[in-house]
Amino acid sequence: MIDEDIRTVLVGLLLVLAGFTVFQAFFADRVVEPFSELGILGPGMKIGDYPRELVVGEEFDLFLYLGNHMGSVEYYRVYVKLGDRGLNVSDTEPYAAPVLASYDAVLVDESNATIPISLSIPESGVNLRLVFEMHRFDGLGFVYHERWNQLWLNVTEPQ
Amino acid sequence: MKRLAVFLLIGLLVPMVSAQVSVEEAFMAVEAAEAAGADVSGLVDELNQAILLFESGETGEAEDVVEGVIVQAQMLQVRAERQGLREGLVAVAVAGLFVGAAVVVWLRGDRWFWRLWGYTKRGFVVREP
Repeated sequence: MIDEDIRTVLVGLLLVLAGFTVFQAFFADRVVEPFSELGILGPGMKIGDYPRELVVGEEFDLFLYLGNHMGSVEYYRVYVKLGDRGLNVSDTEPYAAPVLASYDAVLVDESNATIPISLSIPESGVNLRLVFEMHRFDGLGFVYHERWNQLWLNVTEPQ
Repeated sequence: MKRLAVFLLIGLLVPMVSAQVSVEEAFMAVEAAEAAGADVSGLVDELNQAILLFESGETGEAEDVVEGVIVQAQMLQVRAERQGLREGLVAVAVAGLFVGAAVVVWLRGDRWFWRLWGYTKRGFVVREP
């Protein structure tokens, strides 16, 4: 009968609306795939023009690019560490090299920050690995967030 | 001499550690406010300002900013929790209305349908073919 069909459709529509209302109120903010961004930009705020040859103690400028898509406010810390090719970087463990500097930033969800930084290398070496490592505050302390970047440097003693 | 060095080291380290703890405390307050549904973008700007002040050694000013952030975050959290509770109750009430309407349609829908049909077909005359 036609009225039976209409009744079924109407009831179905009303139940879908009820479910949608509850879903919107309680689950709309859920983030399906949270992630963070870490990038190193050259002195011109572009990808490229990175320093390759430096003298010990020579200052050089870079920019840190951080992005938050975690679904909530995040407190990030980027450690800058100096190693060499004998020590590999891992996606799961922090790089076991001395920390040269660290930079903190708090970002709201779906936002990014470009932070100017100035660094200098305290020792000479060939194929030194300057590692930028992202950590995030988890309520107890800063934990490795499995995001990293690196620059290869040749650093000579001053003449 | 050694003692002096240790005292100096402690004197240098203690303010750094306490600064870190206070920024972390403020961040947790901001995080809680956001989880309650508050817009924390203004507080995050202030917190980043405090981080820069700590880095440049202006500890006193930075601590004032951090304390302000904690207080504001707690106020925002309370307000957002109330708002969230209100919105949740409204959503449940609206959903309840939809379910109630569905039950009524299921139980009485056909009667109303034919009544409406009869009303719209008033004066309808069936002619002989």
